[in-house]
Amino acid sequence: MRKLRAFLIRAANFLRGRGRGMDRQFAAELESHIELHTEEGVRAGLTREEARRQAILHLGGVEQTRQAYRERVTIPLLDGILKDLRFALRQMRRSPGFALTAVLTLALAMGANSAVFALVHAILLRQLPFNAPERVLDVDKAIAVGLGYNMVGADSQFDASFNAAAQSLHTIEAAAMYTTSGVNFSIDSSSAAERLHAAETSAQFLRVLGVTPHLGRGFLAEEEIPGKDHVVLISDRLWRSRWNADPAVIGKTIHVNAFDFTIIGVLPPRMDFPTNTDLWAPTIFDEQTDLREPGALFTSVVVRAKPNLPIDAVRAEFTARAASMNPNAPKGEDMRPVLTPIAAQLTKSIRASLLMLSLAVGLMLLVACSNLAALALARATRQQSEFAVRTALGATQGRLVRQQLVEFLSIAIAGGLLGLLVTQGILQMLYMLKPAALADFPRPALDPVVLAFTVLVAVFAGLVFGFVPAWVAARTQPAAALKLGAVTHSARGTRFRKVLVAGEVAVAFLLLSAAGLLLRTMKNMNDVPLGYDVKGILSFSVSLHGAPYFKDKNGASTPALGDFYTAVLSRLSALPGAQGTAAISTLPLEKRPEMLLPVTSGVAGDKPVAAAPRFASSGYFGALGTPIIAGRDFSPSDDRNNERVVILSRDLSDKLWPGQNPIGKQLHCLWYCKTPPVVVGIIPPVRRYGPSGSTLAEYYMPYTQQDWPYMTFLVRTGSNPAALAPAARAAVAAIDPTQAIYNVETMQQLLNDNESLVRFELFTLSAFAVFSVLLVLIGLYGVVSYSVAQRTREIGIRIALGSRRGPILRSLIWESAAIALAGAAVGLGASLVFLRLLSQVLFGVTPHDPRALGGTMLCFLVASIAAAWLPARRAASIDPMIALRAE
Amino acid sequence: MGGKADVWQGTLALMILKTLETIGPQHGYGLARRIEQTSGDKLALNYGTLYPALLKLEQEGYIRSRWGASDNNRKAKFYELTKAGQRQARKAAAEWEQATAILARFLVPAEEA
Repeated sequence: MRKLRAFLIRAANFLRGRGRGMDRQFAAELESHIELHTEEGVRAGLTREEARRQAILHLGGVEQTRQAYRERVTIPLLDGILKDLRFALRQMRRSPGFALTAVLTLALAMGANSAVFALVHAILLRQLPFNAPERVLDVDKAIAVGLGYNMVGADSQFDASFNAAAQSLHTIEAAAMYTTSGVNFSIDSSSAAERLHAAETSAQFLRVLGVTPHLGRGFLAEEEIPGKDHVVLISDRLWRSRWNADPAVIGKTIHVNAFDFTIIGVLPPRMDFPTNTDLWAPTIFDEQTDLREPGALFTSVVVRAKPNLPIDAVRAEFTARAASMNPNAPKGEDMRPVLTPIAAQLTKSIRASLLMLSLAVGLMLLVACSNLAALALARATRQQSEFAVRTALGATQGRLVRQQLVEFLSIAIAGGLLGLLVTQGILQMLYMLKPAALADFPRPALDPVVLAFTVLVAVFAGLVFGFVPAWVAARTQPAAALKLGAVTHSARGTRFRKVLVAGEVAVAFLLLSAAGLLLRTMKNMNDVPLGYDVKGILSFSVSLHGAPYFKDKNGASTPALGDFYTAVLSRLSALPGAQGTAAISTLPLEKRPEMLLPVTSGVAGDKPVAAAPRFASSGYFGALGTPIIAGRDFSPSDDRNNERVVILSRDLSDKLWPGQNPIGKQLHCLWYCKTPPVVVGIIPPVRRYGPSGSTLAEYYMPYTQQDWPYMTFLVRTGSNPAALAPAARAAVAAIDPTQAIYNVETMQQLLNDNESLVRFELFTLSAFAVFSVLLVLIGLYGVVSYSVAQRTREIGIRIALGSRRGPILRSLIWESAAIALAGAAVGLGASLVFLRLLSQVLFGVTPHDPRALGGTMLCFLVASIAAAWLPARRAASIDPMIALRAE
Repeated sequence: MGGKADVWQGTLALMILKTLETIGPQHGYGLARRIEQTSGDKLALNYGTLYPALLKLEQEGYIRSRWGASDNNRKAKFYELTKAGQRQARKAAAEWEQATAILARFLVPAEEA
């Protein structure tokens, strides 16, 4: 304890800079000591001078004593480092170019690293706000172990088989099922509805996740039984924004899709599962609440593993159960449940991209460090005589090494701190583009963890590139260095620099070829014919809920639905600048869940084809820019009084009636077409999921012949479509102000969102690649300049002896090109191995695309020549007289 | 060294503490003289080494210092024991006695043999 106290006092003295004050005080104390001793000597009969001399002798020297005392006042090691730091600052002031280059390079490289780390930290390393989240598992194909529920065609009787299956599995504590959907939410039935995300769950949902409401209570076991299930949990966000965080919200009734729900609890602020959900209701087994839209047939299953059980034990039980439940299933993968920890499941879409980016940005830092190491090496070689003098004067090697390391560490830390600004800039720029690929994840922030990471990386970088000059300093033999004169040429140092720069070329090659592949992917995507034209289209959706729009249980039509859509369309077409208006149940690129239903040609024995139903207005294909390649469009007269009609995508008609004219045939389907409709038109395939997705067999029916509870409207205009948004809202509000309008987007935006991951990777990777190539240029330039500086005399002699300038120019350029080619060859090898990581996002191009790789190779060859050009020209134009006089 | 012993590492602190315990507040020069006298002039003490040791003891909280006037009215810095210092003086002395007692057992028979 006492030792610690002493240490803290010394550290405090150091920090408060009290060394000097204490020094003065001690000088006074010493003076008084000497005075006392002298007086005694005088009393004993000595002369004053002799007495004083004796006193100082007995003391053991004034300076020595003061030094010993000083070392005890503070901590000498820290003092030494402080001195090194001051020396480093002086050094930087002396050659600001080097320090500035180093700090800026590192700021950019480390800023990018911290930005990627911030993303990784916020997304991949996020601790989910669950109790023991590692035990929560997502189960794909859960139906194979009986953890399913057939929503289609289930009668209204509650089906308890899910819970029975859950209880029969011994490795899990609980299982829950959930699905998400957009809903219309309002506090009372007369006010305008707001569109929110709701999750329909089974009662055990919160227990599986390990989440407790911070107000009110969770679901009771019996609340998942239809009839008792009109209770709802709300998000903290909704609670604060709509009820001002009023605790009296418990027990209040709200309207969800025009049904009454009682609020029973508020979930904690960080609870965001499923992503962006504001309402949780235990209605998953209920066919009457209609929270989910028709077509949303898919549910997800999560389970909580028992504690202290490896996940593989759970997997084994699920696999065994699936095998025993489906003995006749083909040995394919299809009936095998797949269990994934929930954190991995949530980040599945982005994990590979982020890991690839981490790799890329780490490589970029490596390039930056080796570039600086090459620079530092050049400088250290110049400083060798200085080191030699200092060693000769008694500086230890450790002292020289420490001083070099302190200098480079301080440069690296300065770079890291400046880099935080870069990080902030990168993140802001990234999120300014509102990348859809990142929309489902928390936004990264510069928190203490990111800060700590930056410092750690800075120290690492400082050590990496400070190592080289420190090594040179340590190896300096004063005698040899002083003998050789002011400038020493180290062949080994030069070779080392070339290897460093070649390594940079290899890494930059990898980055640039990756960027090239993504660029080609982007181009390929833009070249794919979509089957529609997104330019100038504004789209928005409306889901109708409430009394006039209720589905009739006896199958009679609900004319209010179609009337509403027709009224909206007529208002939209009256908008100034509207060139075409239409409505469709699911627009291409829209993120609605897809439903595929079996349809047949009606000929006995024909296999059913899975196809997606669509409900559209007349003029839809014209407004979207999709040509009708045979037959006709819907017309306003295609209503319930006339013959039922259908338009098919060519994929579907080719499958149903290969080689025949489909026009006039009857389509047979199980749902939504009790009377078989007649095919009146054919359209080309439409890329529902964007350029990289496949096409889909689709059949279109007019909404005037078949009721449909939601519609996406589109307006085409010659000017900026986003400007029409307020008018579109007004048009809907004028017809029924209580209905919510949502997903107001331009189709261009939908397309951009669709390509978001590729754009995100292209944006980041290209930036890293360009920066790396820039560094390589600087590195090559440095090597050639240095070699020119070293060989000035030699070149001067050669020119004086009559050598022509061409060969000199060529040899210097070859020096640079050789480095680039060697590096690029290594980079090519690395590309062949590592670029496979990208194959998930590549489109229309293989990871080994010869054009991308060849282009990159060419790029580096040109770059190496460009980098060598200036110094080589300088060398070739050396005036021999000046060159020879220089030394 | 003319028959004089060097001060062993670590014993100087104990000497200071015990001396201060015996004679009360004293300045550095006085302490140095007193230690020399107590040892019967058998110690070769560089007076200067006393001061870092005093500073260390002060940082450890065993002694405290203040400026005052010496016998013949000179300004000098006086050191005195704190409560912790008094405890430490007793404790360290006991430890030292024990150590020397143990060592003595090894040395005595050797002399007899």
